[in-house]
Amino acid sequence: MYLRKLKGMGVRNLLPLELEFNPKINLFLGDNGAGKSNLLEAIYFLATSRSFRTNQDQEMIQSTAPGRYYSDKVPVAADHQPANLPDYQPGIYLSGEVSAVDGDSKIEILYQPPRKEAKINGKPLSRLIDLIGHLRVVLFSVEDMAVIKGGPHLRRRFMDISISQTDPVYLNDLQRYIRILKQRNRLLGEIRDRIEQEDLLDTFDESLVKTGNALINKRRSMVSEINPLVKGIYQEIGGSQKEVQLEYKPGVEEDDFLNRLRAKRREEIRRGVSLVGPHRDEIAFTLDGMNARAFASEGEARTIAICLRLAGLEYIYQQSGEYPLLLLDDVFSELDEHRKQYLINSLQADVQTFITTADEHVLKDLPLANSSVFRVEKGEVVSGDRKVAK
Amino acid sequence: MPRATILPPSLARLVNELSKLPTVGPKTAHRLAFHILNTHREEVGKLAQALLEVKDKIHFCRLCGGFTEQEFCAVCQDETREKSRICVVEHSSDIIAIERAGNFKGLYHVLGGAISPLEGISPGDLRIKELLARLDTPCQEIILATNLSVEGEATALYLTRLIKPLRIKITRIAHGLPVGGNLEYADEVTLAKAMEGRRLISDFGMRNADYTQHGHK
Repeated sequence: MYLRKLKGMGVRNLLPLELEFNPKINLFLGDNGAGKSNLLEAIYFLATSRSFRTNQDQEMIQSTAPGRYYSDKVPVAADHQPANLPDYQPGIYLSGEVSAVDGDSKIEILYQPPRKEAKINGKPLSRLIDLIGHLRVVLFSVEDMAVIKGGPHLRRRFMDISISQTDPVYLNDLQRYIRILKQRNRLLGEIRDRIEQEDLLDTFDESLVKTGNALINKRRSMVSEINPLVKGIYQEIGGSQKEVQLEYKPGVEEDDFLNRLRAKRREEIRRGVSLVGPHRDEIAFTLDGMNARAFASEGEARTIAICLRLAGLEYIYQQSGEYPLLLLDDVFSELDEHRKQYLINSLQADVQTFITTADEHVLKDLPLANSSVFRVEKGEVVSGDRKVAK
Repeated sequence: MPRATILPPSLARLVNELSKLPTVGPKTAHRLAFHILNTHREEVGKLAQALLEVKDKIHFCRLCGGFTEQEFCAVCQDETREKSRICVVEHSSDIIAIERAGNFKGLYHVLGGAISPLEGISPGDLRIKELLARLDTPCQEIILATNLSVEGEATALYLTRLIKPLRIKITRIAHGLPVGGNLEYADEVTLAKAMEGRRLISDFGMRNADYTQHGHK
């Protein structure tokens, strides 16, 4: 699938924009702080209704005085606002036109806190999570470079975003699991503080196990599908003969879940937090049998991180029958020449790719016949010189 | 849109009160307020009276907790209803929804919400003791019709654990496909839940076949 057009306003420092993208490679060039990554963030927001850079989505909204109004792209000062403005509140509006195998569609999202609403082809979605899957994306950002050596939440997030975009049942279970976990954690604290009776915990244990096991099941099969992909891609890179292996390490095995909850109950109550379940899952990476987290070099860990994203891309392709968008946020600056070349070479013809970089030199490495270059300056996309070979 | 500040105080107050209502935003509140302003005084009086009357007269049925103007609600007073079946719901408004469906002939019990530690609602805040008291009289079936949300499910599980030792049949309303719905158009989540909650039609006399274990345990 690919994103043909993007319209938007209110995203961070970006002026109202209307862009037409290349079905292959799109390069956002500009200085640091110009707004390149904000464009990727906008695309990611259109796909998931979330930011990838912050948990506080409000931060994405243009931080100007309320009532900011644009006349021909130039912001109008607060005291010169036209009278009778339509009820203007700060917020984000994005709309995108997507081409996919099963036809074209238009996605719109309006975010004026606390309101966040989405429409598909003009039809409002009753639940925001139904947005996910209409525009699939794989993001690779500087933060994701740390997926091997960083905290386990990075690896769980990778599993969740990959599975959720192709399996709405998983997404639904995941949302329920998170809610059950929140309720249960609060309950544990209340039991510790003797506000609530302990027997209520049995109920939430039962919910946790049922929904949690559904997640464990699907994560296990996802990791087993992705394992050979990562291994293959890793050996392709620079002809390395080392072997990468992924192993899913669930926080608890399905049939042991309830027993472990029983065993940990006292500790859970004392600490007021749930200690058993898929929210403690891990993926263990090994390189030639050695724990990659501890023993891989920084360069090897980054290479595995790239391979993991590319495998995620392939996974979504296998599950859904078409490639998602690939968003590469500023990752070239973090890679040595060799790995940069590999990543560029592995950009597949049928994957629409968005790349942000401050490095003009990337230009010369790209197959320019298939790319469009957008220069971003102070929040404005000043040129979209299209060099499209159709 | 006119700013609230330029409205005369009494009108601003009305707009303010109206915008506290659910689903009413500032624009709708203005529209309603102007409508009320342009309506005959007598009509407005009827509205005002109806608002107060509903607060003064409506209270909760002593037995089931549903809305009524009397001591017992219309359903509980109805001698033709099956007294051995009790349908447990979260809110009184749920009774009205099920009554509209019209196929349930038993009695109701309103819990007054669902268990939710995050909102500070614990079993003690719900009308569970009242429900257990009602089970002393012969009861054949408890139908758990709490919502399918995390909280509604937790409440259903909690009640199941509580009632099970009393050896009363417990059922849970099904979740699944909309009536007249085409399988092809059902969303995946609904379809998956419908598959999970499938029910036995014939087991060819094979007791304990593994598919009979599906559904709510």
